[in-house]
Amino acid sequence: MRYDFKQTAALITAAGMLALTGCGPSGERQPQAAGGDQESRVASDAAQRTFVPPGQLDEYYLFYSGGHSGQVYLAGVPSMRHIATIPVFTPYPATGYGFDEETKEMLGGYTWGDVHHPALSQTKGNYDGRWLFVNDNGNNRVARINLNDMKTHQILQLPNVMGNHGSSFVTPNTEYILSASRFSVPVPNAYAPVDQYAQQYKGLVSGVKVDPKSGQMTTGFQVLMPPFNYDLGSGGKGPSESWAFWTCYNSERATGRLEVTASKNPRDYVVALNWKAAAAAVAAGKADMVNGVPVLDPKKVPDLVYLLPTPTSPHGVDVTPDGKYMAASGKLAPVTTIFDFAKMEQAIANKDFTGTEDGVPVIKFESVKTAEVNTGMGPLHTEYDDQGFGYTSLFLESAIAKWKIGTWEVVDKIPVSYNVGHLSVAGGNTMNPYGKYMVSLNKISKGRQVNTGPSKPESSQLIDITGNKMTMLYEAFTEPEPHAAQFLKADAITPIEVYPKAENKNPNATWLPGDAKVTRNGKNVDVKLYMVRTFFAPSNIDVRQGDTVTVHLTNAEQTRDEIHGWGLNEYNINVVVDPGETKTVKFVANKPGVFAYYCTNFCSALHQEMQGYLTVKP
Amino acid sequence: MTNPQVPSTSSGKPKRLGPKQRLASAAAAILVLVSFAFPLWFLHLKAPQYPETLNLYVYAYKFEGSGSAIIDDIAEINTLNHYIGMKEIHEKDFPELKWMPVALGVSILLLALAAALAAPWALVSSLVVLSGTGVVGLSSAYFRLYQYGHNLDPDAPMKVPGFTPPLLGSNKLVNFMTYGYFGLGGYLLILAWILAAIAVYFYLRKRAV
Repeated sequence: MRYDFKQTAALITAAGMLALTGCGPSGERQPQAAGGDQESRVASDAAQRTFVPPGQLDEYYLFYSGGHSGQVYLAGVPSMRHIATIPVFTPYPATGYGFDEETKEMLGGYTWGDVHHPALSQTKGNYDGRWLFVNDNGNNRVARINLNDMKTHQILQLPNVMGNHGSSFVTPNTEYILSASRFSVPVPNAYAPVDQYAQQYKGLVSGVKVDPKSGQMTTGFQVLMPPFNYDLGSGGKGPSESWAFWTCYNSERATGRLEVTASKNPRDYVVALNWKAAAAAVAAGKADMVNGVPVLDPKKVPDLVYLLPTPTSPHGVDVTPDGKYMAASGKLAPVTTIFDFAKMEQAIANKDFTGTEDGVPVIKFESVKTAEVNTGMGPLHTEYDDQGFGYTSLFLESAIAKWKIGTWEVVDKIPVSYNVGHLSVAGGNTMNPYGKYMVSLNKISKGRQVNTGPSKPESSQLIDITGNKMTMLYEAFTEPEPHAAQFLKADAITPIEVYPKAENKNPNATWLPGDAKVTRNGKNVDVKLYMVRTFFAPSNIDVRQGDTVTVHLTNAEQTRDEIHGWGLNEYNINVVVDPGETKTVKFVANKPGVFAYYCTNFCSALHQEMQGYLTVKP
Repeated sequence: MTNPQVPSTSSGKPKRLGPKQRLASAAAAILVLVSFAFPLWFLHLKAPQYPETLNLYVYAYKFEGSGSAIIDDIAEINTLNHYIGMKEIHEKDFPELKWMPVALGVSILLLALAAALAAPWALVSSLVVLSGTGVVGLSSAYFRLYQYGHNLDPDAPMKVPGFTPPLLGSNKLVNFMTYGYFGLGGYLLILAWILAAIAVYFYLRKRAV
C-alpha cells in the first residue's frame, strides 16, 4: 500500500498541534503527571532494579549531550544519577575549563556550543572505548573527548559548514566523523542576499577525518549539495560500511517561514554518500580547495552521492545493526520508511533514476523502499536492540514504538512524558547492541517535578526492554537539554585517575617546592608554581602594574582525587589542576594593589590555609 | 668403622658436613636469594579516605609502594606525615638498604660454600652472619621507627606526642590505623636461619658423639 503523503501530513500536523497544547478536546486541563497509561507500565520492582546502593557502581555509563549548554554529561545506568559534567564548548569553572591557556585556545573565544549527537568511536562497528565525538550546531565545530581521561582534547572548526547538525556519527572504524550543513549558505561563505538562495547557496555533506592512532581530527572532505537543509546522519555498517546517510528537508529550496514553505513537497530525501569513493576522488585530485578543505562537486565528480525520496520533512535515518536497511522517519508522516541497501545498490547499477537535483541522481522510490512501518505520529529516531527489534521515538504521540525487523510490525508502544526526541538503546547504533536498557530523552516535562518556576528542566526516562512489553523504570531530570546519548559498559574502559609524574613532559612542571620560582624578563614575569597539600610555592608573587604574568601551575600530588585550584581574587581566574598535571594561565596585572590567591578545590583539612598573595606595585 | 659417605677423623668424629646438612645449606642459600624478590617487612596504613590502604614495602635493598596507578604510596605517606612534622622517608637516608644486601650476599656465599665443600666453618659462619643481620636489622628497624616517630618538627601543623609506629602489630594515630607485618621475604629469611641452625645443631651433635 502506498501512503498518501500530502494528505496525512496535513492531518498529522493538525493533530500534533493539538497534542502539543496539552488540552483535551473539551479544553479541560489534563490532571498533572497523567502520561496516558504510563503508570501501568512502571515495573513493580522498578525501585529494586534501579537502586544502586551507596558505594556500589552503575552498570553503564550514559554519555548524554547537553544541547545548547555546550557540555556533555555523564550519568550512571540504572541509577540515572548525574555523575560528572564533561565541559566541551562552554567554560566550566568547576574544573577550571576555559581559564587556562590551552583550553582558552581550544574554545577559540566562543562561550557556548550546541551539542546534539555524541558518538563513541567504533572499531568493526562496535564501541572501542577510545573517544567520544560531539558536534556543535551553534558554532560549526566538532570536538573529541578522550575516554582515557574523560576530557576534551580537541575542538575543530569546520570551514564552509553552517549549522553542523548532521554530525558526529562515525563510520564503522572511525575513519570519518560525519558532518553536514543544516543551513545552506554560499560556499565559500560570502555575502549573497537571501533572494539568491536557490542560485547562490549550497548544501554540504562531509567527512571529518580521524587519525586512527591519536584521534586527531582534520577537515577531511566536503561534498557540495543542492541548497536543502541537511539534518541527521548515520554511518553504514557491514554491507553498507562504505556509505554514509543523512536526511534532508526543504527540497523546495525555500526561505522565509520554512514551517510552511519547506513543507510543500510531498517528499524530501535521504542522502546516500559513498564516503570511500569521495575519499578516493580527493586522493585522485578531483576536489577544489575551498578554505583549505577539498570540496567535491557532484556535477563534476559523478557516482559519489544519491538521493532517496522519502516522506516529507524526514528527521532520523538509522541503519540496522546488520547494515542491510536504513530506517527514515518523516516528522510529519505516521510511518517509518525502510530502504533496502541491496536494492539501492541494484538501482544505482541499473541507473534507476527519476531525475537529478544539481547533478545528484534521484533514485526511484519504489525501487529502494522495502516497507513502511506504521510507527505512529511524529516518528523521529530509531535505534535497535540485540533481539532484532527497532525502537522509534514518536514526538507527537509522546511514545516509543517497538517493531520487528523483517515483519515490520509494531509489537508494543510505551507512552513517555513528554515529546521524546532522541532515544538511546544501549549500544543501539552498533553492529552488536547490548540491549537491556533504553533511555527516552524527552523535550518537555510539564510539571512532572516539583515546581521550578517558569524555566523547566527536561526529563529522561529509563525503560527496560528485555521483555515483550517495555516497562518504565525511572525518570530523571537530566541536565538541560538531554539531547542524545550513548551507553557504554562501565567495565569497557579504565580511565586514568592520576597523571603519572613520569609522563608529564611539560618543561615548566615543578615537582619540588624548592624549584618553584619567579623570573622576570623585562615586563614579562614567569612563575613556576608548585601546589601540594596544603601550600603554594611561591606563597607570594610581587609584580609591577602592566606586567604580563604567566603562571605555570603544577599539582605535585600523585594520589587520586587530590585536586588543587588556583583562584585569583578580582582577576577572574580559576585554574583547577588535577594530580600530576601542569597548566598555564596568562594575564596582565592591570589592577594595582594586593590580591589573594587561594585553593578553590577543597583538598584537605588545611585547605583554608592554602593561600598566597599577588602584590601589584603601581 | 668407616663411613664412606662421611669422611671421618681417626677418632670417628666428622670433619665435614653430612649430605642432609649440605642439602639444608643449599636450601637456605636459595631461600635467602629468593628473599630479595619479596618485602622483608611492610606497613599498612588504613583510613576512611584510603579504601585501597596505603602500603610501604621494605625490601632488603629498596622501599616500594603498591605500584598502583591511582596512588604513589610513599609520596602520599610523606605528604601526610608533613602534617605531624615527620621527616620524609627517602631511601638515601637508610644505610640499612646498603649493608643488608651485602650481609645477605655474604650469607648466601657461605651457605653455598657449605653445600659445595661440605665445610663446617662456612655453615657456622653463615649462621653467625644471618643471626647478626637479623638482630641488627630488626633493632635498627625499631630504632628507625622510634626515631621517625619522635623527631617531629615542633612547627608542624598538627602537634602529636612522640610515638613509635608498630614493628609488628598495630597502633592508631589521628584517622589512621597502622599495621606492621613481616613480609614473605622476612619469613624466607627466618626459614633460612632455622635451616642453618638445625644443620649446625646436627653437625655439632654428631661431633659431640
